[in-house]
Amino acid sequence: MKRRIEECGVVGSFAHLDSFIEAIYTIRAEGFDQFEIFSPVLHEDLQAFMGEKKSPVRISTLVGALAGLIGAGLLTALSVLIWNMVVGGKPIVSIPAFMVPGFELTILFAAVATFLAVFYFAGLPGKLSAGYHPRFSNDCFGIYVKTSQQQQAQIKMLLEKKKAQSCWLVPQEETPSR
Amino acid sequence: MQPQSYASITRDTLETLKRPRRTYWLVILILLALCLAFFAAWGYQIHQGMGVTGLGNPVGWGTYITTMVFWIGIAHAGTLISAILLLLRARWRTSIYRISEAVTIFALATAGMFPLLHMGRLWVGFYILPYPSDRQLWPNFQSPLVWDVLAISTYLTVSLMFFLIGLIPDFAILRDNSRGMKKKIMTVLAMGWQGTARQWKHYSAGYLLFAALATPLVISVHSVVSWDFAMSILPGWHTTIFAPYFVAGAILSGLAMVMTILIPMRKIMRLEHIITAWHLGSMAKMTILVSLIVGYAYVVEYFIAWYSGNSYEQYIFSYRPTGEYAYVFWIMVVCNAVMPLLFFIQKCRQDLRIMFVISILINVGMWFERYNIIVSTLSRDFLPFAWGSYRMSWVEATILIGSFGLFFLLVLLFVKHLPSIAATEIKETLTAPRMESNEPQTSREIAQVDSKEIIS
Repeated sequence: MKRRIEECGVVGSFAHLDSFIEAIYTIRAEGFDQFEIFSPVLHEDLQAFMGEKKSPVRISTLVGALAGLIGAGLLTALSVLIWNMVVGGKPIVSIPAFMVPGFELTILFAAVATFLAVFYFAGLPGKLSAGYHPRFSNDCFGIYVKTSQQQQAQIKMLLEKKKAQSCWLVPQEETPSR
Repeated sequence: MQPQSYASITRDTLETLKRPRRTYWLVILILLALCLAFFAAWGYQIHQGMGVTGLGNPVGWGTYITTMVFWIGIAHAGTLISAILLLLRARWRTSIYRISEAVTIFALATAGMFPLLHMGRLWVGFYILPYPSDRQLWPNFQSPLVWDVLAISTYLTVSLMFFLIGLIPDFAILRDNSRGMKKKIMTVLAMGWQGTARQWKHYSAGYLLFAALATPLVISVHSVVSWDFAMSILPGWHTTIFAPYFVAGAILSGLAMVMTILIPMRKIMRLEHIITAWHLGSMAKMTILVSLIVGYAYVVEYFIAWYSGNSYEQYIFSYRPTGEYAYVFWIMVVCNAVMPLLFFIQKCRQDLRIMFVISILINVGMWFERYNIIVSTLSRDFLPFAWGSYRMSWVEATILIGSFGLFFLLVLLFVKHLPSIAATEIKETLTAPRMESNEPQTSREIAQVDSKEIIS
């Protein structure tokens, strides 16, 4: 039977964005790469920590849009070719009339693909991280540095030096109350 | 005005979800009664047949189609405010966009019932769905009615997804600040959102893409609805101006409905500092613009009728303001093209009571606009021999009133059980708290600074 290895780390909670960003840079400079940041809002200053690569969500949108367009073309054209309904002098496969279903299904499939991609890439639904605190959705910024037990004290000191509002260890300490 | 902070926005959001007063439940009961009347009248119609309506020959489209188009129109403000204004970076939208999106969803849900009502035998409604079956019947994709089904169902699906995506960070706020059963529900709805850099990165990319997808959709949906009429050859309907005319009308009615809901809501829920008179004033200015477009379309229709030299077209446009349905025409003109112009006067934009009255009048006018278009044309076809008239029956009237009950019931349940103000996005408009300068700001100040930057 596998034994669950518990995560180990330090969490710092910050009331101010500038001290929070400074703390992230310090943690990075000290060579700690394994960390998660939490923010109640999407702030442009945090975009530097989101990775240089653009989100693959946009690729999913494009794939969805193309699938919708091709699907609509096939649906409309094949359905009239198999079950044709001659209602006038117009061609059976009437491109102008089929542009509307084409447009709608392009948007529909693109939107569904975007929706699913956001969930997939953002890891939703998922469990809350061991370093998460309810204040991180309210008014505080947070950083959770994953590290060994030996280095916890050093990181905690670093975060406190960078004016962290509060710091706690994971999993030994009790998290502060709200 | 109270300065705002991240914590105060969270507090305000939680405040809106506190146990409601007794009046709330009383209003809910009244609305439930209206819903009951709606379904009872529908049941009666199913039992008795379509003869209980005023529909017949030559007017085969009446109250149901009018009301369906009306509700679809109402739905347009949500996407305008949430998607188009997001792309235009108009920050004043943040305080009001959540309720506008909810209006979109509930209005579309209400609108979706009317084709079923109009169909009569709603149990064969699945005939319209494209799937291989023994019937060897497929929807005719050349028909604007099938386009309409595709357009409205796409709009509902996309709006719903856009709405849900926007709610996730706010569900997380509620999860982290509630207890008991509510916490359990919010934990499920928040799906483990914790605002990590990774989550924000994909979320923001997806959200922007949704706005980009919803923007052409909002234009297309009412264009497709207008083609239900414009693709026919009937006088008064067969005109190329219908698509922009319908889109402008839809946005006008949607804005008016959002104002009708927001003005009492901000008072009752004590959100005056978040949804300020300035925000509503901005909506009033937008209403002027859209109303002018609608008024222009009314005039241009007459020009087209005159310039076409088509006697049938000219007749229908002379019949509308002078014939049997003249009152419908004049209500439409006064409510949609004249009353909104009062917003040119600053006092009318600042006095919320006047704004509330005008918003209701616009809603009335927009319903009559659709009634005017549909009924007058059908009652006066090419052959005087085939002319006829239409009167709404009590069943149709009950269903019309009941639909308002259904819509407002959904809105009221929403505002008390889910976050009706977009807390996370409002926080984004505030200056982030910093050690160096930590000046608290109000949402109005932020928005005003933002507008000045855009102007300069």
